Amino acid sequence: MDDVKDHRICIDGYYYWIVRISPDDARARGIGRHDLVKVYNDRGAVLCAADVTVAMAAGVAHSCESSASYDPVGEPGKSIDRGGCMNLLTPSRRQSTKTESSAAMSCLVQIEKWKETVGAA
Amino acid sequence: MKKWNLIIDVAKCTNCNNCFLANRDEHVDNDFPGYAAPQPRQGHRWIDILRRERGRAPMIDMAYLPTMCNQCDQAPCVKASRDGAVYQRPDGIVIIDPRLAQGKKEIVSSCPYHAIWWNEERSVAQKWIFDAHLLDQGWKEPRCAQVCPTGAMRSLKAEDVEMEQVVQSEALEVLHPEFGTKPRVYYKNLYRFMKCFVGGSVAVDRNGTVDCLEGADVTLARGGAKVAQQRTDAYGDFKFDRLDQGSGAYAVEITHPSHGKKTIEVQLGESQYLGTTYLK
Repeated sequence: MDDVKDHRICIDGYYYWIVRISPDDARARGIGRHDLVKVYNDRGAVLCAADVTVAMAAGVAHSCESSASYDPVGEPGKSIDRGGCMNLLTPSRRQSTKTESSAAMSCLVQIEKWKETVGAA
Repeated sequence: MKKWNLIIDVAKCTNCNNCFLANRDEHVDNDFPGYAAPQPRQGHRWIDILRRERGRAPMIDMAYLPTMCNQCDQAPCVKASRDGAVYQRPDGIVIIDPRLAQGKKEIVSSCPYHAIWWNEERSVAQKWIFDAHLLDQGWKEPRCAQVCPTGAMRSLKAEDVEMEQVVQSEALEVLHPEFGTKPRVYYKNLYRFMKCFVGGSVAVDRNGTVDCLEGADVTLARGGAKVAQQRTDAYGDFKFDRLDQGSGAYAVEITHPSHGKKTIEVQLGESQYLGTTYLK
């Protein structure tokens, strides 16, 4: 399953979750196709493989929130995730009390090229 | 004798990856002596789906091209192999004998389509075998065709003469016919992946209100000769498809009986969206 191209991309022996960004945003950040990037906001940070695609409008990034994997590179809860757990970035607010459904369908993030080495799995 | 062929409709492929996963399910960790050694867990794409994006927002389309061993009638791998390690069966399916092909890495580089993979661990060349092992047990089609939810893939066992008629009537093409290998995997609507388009939108400004202009006449010309003609749709859009990549200078002439005329010069490299053109 990890080898499905739109599912994960193998970089240096590790299968990273995919974030899709527009060519304009990629150019502005020096990001190339399948580069390792850090997607982050005040809530957390996730390492992903970048898919640069004209299907995305400038200023918009897309990633599926269903990786079902949390793999922190350091201390759990306090370090960057590389399992692709995108819901670290979205608000945990619910649609109403007594439901489990997420209230948000989007959130603000910043994306930058990841230059450090993390190593294989 | 009837031979197996595969027909793939590029316009119907949605990149669901069912064919890719069915192939992995069939071959990873499974040994089929005489047909294929087990596929490694990583690195092989016996069925490989390629993506092509055309245009720019708001006129974008995506096409997906499932590729695999073409089961060529004039297969370079058959010619390159020694001792009959690669052979074509009477039913058209090309098989790399997993035992005889041991250590013969040259089989991999013989394929101009890059559809043969090297299994490092087992030291053997491997590829998609049209699920010959299943067909021999009475299956009616390979797994990729069976699992395709949109009907983008279908297999056809036919005499070569029959197949030629199907190719004619359905306007089928093969990948890189210039290789001269006579593939048995055919594609429909291949232009979605291989060709380019020139598109645009036409609008009028009515006292500050922008309206899409439906029914404008749009002519595509090359070197003074008309190539194609269209009318803009309800969104004021036009799109000339099936043009050759890098085919050079074109002129797009937009006319409307009550809104005048404009001509746009186009230099076609990749697919182009010309943006919105305003008529008076």
